[in-house]
Amino acid sequence: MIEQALVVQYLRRWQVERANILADRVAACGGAQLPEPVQMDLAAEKDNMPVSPALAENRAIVRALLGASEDVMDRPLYVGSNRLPACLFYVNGMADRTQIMLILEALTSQSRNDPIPPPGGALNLETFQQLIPSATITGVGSMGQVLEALLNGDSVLFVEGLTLALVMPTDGLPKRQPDEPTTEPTVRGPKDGFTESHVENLALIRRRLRDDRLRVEKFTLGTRTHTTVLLVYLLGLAEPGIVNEVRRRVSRIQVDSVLESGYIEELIEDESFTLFPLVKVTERPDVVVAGMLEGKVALITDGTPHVMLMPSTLVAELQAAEDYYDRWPTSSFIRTLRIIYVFIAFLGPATYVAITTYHQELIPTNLLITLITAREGVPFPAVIEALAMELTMEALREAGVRLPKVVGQAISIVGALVIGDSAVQAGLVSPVMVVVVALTAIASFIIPLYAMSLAVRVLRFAFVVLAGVFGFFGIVVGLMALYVHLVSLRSFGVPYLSPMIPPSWGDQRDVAVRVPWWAMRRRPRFMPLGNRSRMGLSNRPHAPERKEGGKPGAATD
Amino acid sequence: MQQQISGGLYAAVLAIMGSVMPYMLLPRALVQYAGQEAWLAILLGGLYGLAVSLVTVWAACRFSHRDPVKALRCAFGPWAALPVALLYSALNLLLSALALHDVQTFTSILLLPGTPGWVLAPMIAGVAIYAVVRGVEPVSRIAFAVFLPMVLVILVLPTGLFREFDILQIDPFLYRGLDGLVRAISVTLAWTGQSIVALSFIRHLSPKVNPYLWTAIGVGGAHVLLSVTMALITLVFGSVLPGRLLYPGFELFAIIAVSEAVERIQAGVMVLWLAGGLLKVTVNLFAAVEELSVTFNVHRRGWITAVLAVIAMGAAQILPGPLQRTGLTAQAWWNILHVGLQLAILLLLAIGALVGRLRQGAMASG
Repeated sequence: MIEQALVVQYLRRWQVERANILADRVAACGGAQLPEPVQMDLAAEKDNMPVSPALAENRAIVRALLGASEDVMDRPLYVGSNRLPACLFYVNGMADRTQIMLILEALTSQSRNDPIPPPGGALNLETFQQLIPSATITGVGSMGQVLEALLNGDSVLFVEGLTLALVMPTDGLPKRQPDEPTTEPTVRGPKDGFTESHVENLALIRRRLRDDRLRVEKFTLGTRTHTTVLLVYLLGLAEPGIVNEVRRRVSRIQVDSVLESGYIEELIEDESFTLFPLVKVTERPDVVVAGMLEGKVALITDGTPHVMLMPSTLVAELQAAEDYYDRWPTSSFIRTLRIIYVFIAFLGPATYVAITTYHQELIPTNLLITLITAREGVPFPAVIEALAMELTMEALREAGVRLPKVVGQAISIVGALVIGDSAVQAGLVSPVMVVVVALTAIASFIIPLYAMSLAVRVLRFAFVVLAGVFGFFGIVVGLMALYVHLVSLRSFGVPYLSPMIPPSWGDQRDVAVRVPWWAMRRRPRFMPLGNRSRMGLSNRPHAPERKEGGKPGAATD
Repeated sequence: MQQQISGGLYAAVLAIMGSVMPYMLLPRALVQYAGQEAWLAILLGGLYGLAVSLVTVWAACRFSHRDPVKALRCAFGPWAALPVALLYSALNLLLSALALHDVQTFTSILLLPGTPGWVLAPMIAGVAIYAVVRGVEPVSRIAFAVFLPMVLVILVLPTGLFREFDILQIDPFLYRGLDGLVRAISVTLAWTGQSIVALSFIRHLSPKVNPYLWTAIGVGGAHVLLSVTMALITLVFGSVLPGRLLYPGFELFAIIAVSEAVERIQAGVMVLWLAGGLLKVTVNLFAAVEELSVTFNVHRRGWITAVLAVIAMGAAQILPGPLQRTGLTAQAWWNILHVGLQLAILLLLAIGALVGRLRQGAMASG
């Protein structure tokens, strides 16, 4: 229940005209709760409301601002031998109970024998900094800061006669352990992934990047969610222009809520009307660190394990972390295969539809006979057949994602097998179409990043329709429009098709093929960077020189 | 800030403009007049194209930022730039409509038999509008992406055709006399003079590169390539048969059979030529939009592009069928119209440059 008299008293003490108006309105209220408009007006003023020296008023105003929330706890206590009244506020579930107990013990038991403030001393922040076993104790002067601290999981202590509220970090938000990223697993490489805690995510980055030039800037986004967003970059490597641009775009965000990094992504990207991700989103700390070492900037959003890395390019979206952990010839082979399969993923069904519908003359005779035999009896044109199969495949995939894990896999496999086999046996689709759709589905799974895979999936439908209506002509027109689109895309000013377009010949060593690490002496040229040198000159490994008559590897004099 | 392009991209645009459409449409007409010397007609006609483009570049370089239309507008008002801009835009709109018509006809005949051209035209126009609105960089990058494989294909072409070569097909020299050659050259002028489109791209060319050199590479390279393919057509088909084929350049690829599995290479060429054709529509539309926008100081070009594209689309539908169209290329009045427009634009540019120079001199002395 709100003690309205104390709230009125607090507002009158403030001695500001608008506070007096508010006090009149509160005084006019009856009942256990303040009416909603009055609560809203109080909330609008919270940043200007000072902490009162009267403890009871502070308690009343915090209660009035937070409403009758069950989880907001206030623990009255007396500190020191002179029994100075105080009150500890915290939000149950968000604050760590162990730390609360430690603070309470220090305030009540340990200070029992001495007066507070000590004789001849003043009642101030330092008095309590000596007393309470907390890493940091900060004093805040406004009710807005008090509420912000409380809602971040910190504890707030009000003391009679003190015009500061003492904020102690007791964050005990529910967390999960860093485990393997679900969307980007690797065979070789680190198995820890980001979690929902921005503090832990930053620690995961710092663990790999123990560089004193790592810079972290904090933003709070969302007028209601107050989501913490961290801008992380390496001083001297990240180009100041890009850092400033990211800072500018993040600073201008004015939304009421940020629940996931996707909210921010759509508010800071260069171009909204595109299927392609212009920001790389990853759950892997090693990927973020590797990106920052190439001059990129990371944005960590509290509450999500997905960290954004910018600027991004099409090539970066097709690279997997493992490409740099496996041996370079195998990595290069897999990377090339991946690029080929990207083309199959979005052009496979369209090409099949175009050839079988309009351009049979392009198929070698033997293959044509096989295709015609396979399609015999199928009542639909190839385009309808392809669209139906692709839609079924997408539905199965979506169902597999939404269903519980154990059931999901079974549904996907059974669905694919049963529906595919039954459809062929019923003569609704041709076996060749099943092969094409299956190959396409496998190809789209090869794309390492989910956002890119989604873009390819959507494009595939557009190209199937174009091929079904206009054959190769439709595909050429579609490809040309796609090319124009991709060429004109930018990610924080960096061309999206870099380093292929505009061509940067020196950077081709890390596109379709990855050269050995010792040959990648310089960081990418297409990125505006402070320092291009990645390593020294003499990193190429050599077998030890063989002394005459000696064994290889033996120590030389 | 104005987008800039490199010398390579600029040359690729000029090369594609000078080679894609003539590759399909010129051989038939040229062989009819010049016989086995058609390749020479292209080379000599190319000299005119080179001269037109170099004079255009020279005139453009007389103005600040290589932008004659803007300079004239700023110095004397929009009416001073209007004659050049209107003539130039009209010519490019006509060329865009012709290219659109050619692509839709080719597609209707070889790729989608029975599909009316007006069904295909909106798609082509749609892509052209999108590319033009996106600016000079995407347009020139497509040109580069099409030009590079095209050069590779033409370089590899002789290896697939050498069994069909008959050196006697080009012997004796000047079999049809000098008249035929001159007539064929006059037919090429309307095509080669299209290199005047350099006017819209020169202002975007990076100031670090030599504009004359890259213009010469682009326009000269296009005509050398075209001449080589013309020579190949003559070596394979002789000097009579190509005059009876609608698209001899296309048939050249149709006879290549590397093995039983790889027997229809023309599919690849079709794709390249289609892309090149779409690009020609786009580049001419871009040129028309660019000069009109600069003249009237329009920054948001969407609506101008859309209006001009619709006009081009409409014009493409009233043009005659493929046989009449190839006949049209050889008509004297048609070629005079084109060459006249090209020369008129050059003349106006030269006058503009001269007046600008005089005014500058007067201001300096005053």
